[in-house]
Amino acid sequence: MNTKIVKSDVLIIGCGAAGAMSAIICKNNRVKTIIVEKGKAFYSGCTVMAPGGMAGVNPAWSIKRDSSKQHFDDTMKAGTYLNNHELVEIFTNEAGIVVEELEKMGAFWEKDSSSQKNQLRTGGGHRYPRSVFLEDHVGAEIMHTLYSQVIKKEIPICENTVILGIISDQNIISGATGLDLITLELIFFDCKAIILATGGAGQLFMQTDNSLGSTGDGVKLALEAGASLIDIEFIQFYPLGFLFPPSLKGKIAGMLYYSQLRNSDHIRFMKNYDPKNMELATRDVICQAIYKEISIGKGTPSGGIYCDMTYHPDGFIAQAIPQFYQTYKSIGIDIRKDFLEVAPTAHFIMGGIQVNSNWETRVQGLLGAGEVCGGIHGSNRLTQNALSETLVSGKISAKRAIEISKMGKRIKINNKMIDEKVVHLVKRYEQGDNKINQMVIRKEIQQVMWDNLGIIRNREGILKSINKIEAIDYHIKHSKCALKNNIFNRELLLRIENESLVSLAKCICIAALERKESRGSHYRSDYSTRDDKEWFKNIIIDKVGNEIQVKFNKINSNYKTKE
Amino acid sequence: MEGKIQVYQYNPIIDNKPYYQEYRLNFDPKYRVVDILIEIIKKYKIDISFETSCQAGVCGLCAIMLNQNPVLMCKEPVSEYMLIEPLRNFSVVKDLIINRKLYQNELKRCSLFLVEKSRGGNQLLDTKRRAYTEKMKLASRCTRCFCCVAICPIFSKYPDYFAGPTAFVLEAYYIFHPYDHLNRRLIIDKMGIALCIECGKCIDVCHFNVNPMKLIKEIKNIYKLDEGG
Repeated sequence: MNTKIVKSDVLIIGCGAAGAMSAIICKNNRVKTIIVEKGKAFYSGCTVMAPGGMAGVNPAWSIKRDSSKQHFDDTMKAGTYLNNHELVEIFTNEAGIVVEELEKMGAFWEKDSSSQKNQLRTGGGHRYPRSVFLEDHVGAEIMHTLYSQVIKKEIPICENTVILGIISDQNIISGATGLDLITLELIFFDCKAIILATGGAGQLFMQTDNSLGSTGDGVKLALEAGASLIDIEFIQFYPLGFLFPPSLKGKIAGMLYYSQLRNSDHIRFMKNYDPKNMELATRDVICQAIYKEISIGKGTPSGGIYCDMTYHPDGFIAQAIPQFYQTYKSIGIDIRKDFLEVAPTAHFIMGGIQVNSNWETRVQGLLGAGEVCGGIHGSNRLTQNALSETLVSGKISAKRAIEISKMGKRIKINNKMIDEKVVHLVKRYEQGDNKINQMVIRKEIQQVMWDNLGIIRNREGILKSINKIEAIDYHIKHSKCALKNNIFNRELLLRIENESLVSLAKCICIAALERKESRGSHYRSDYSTRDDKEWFKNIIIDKVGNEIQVKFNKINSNYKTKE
Repeated sequence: MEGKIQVYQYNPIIDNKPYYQEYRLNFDPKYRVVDILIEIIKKYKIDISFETSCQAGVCGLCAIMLNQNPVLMCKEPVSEYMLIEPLRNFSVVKDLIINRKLYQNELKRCSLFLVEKSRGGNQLLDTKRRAYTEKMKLASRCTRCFCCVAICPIFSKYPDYFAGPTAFVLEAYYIFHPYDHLNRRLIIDKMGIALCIECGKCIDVCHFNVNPMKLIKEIKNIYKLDEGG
């Protein structure tokens, strides 16, 4: 098998908002950059799907009382102070700036009546409205703007290329190996710095609003290269997911700030759980409230709760969230009169690769950006922080990557070593005798994780799923994928993704088992209270050889919990 | 519900030419087209390649021709007889996957990015701009699924001279953008805006209610193309 060698200074894996943003910054500084994307650039990924808003405080449009400090406090509070406060500080200071930068690149945010200032949306946990938006396609607007810049700057993109492994020597990276899914050609990306921007892993769960490509590939790559994971047990669920039709199941069904949640008696049950904020409570609180309502028999016939939008004036929904309105119409629901049945769905993974204030991992030359990194959101992400975080982290990691690529020396690699490492990787796929369908395996993983590591967890369930995941891992390792005569090999891609999912699932199980308390989005029915004395610390996961090691990192912050 | 589904299949490495394969299947009438394809792959243990990402009708990657009509697979309800083909007016890479690169390369020539200051100057007056933001917002809904390009009779006849409805929608975004200062008159001319016969086919196929024909008309209106300049 021949290997193509592609040389660059910075390699960016993933082409969502974080990846595209860092590529643009790198290119601005005349650093040779290449983006590698598993699917189709600017179509795949989760950024495109984001409907809500992008939080950021900037004196140019924010309300007077609001400040970055307030944004910082809100973010820390939503994350139950488990957040890495250095990262949060950088993030809240930069968020307003990147929103403005994006506007200069060509994005447009909804303006108020004077058509000078941006209109602002609020969200659960934000003290003041501080998020810019455009109808219900904020993510698409961001993505299309970044795309226009990527085209303008002629940044090369390798589409349909999946990265198989990062090659590092003595904790310094020297490149990555990839596989072109169309031609099945092996590529060695020779570079000085790698930015992982592969996004989250919603596909771990049966019901998720993430795109098909969110399989946690970056987490696996980083773990194998020697980086550590942090806070990986915290997974956010979005309270409003469709329950029917089957193809829409789990997708985002509406916006919390435009809805009232009602149980089977048509009572706004949030008054029993968070009377002050009601539907604007943080997402972890709402999800757990929904789960409790359903478990005491106050759920709807199809096992959800009602989302009520009938109280809005006529035509408001059609104008404010036009795409959602279309969808409601197409599934036969008149949102002006009917209630919508919804249930929680997997949305965001707070944990990820542990990074320092330059978004740099422990491995020299390996950086992260976006959802793949952990630590910034603590135990629960504040709504609307995700989009601005991807841009801020993309920007700062790019700056560091530029420094590295300007100082760093290229590590020489002989062709023999590439052949050994790469060919070995691919041969693995043709060996084995198990002809099990990868789609079936995917469904199994999703079922196990949904049943045992969803909103409510307990020791028994977690232990059960650890065993089950081990068994699934064995099946994947011994399954065969034909490589010949097959371009666009879905089966092969599914297998590579399943491997990532399984290795991430193991880490999540172990971390969830360790954390013997309930905090933020992690709710253990056997330890149902928050224990600040014992558990005010992060769980760090390392991989040494084939063993997963757990470490604890006590938090020495002055922002200790006051409640 | 029992249905007869014909699927276009073509693997350039093995097959000399494309062929249609017929499948019979029992399925839930609440299904969408993409569910049917997954069902076929599972039942017949074959590989049909198609692209899909968000499965919520947002990303626009899963556009195909269903019974000669461009649709998004994840949004379209199923029917008893279905003819599934790749999007028309594009070259096929494999099965239902089209080569978007060629059209995207075409788009690269249309200056689809914000130009804040330029010598030509935008013809729109600053005071008028506010009224145009509604049109810009309309254009911003476009997801580049290329359904309108697939149905456009002019693009299928003169692909070298007419850039297709999507290109004009994306161009309209910058023409009506309050901060864009580029005079896009020459670009529009070169994209062949005069060839549009305003048949209105692109209006019905758009899943996001963008209305490309209306935007093309607005562009003509602004640059006074109807009156010969």
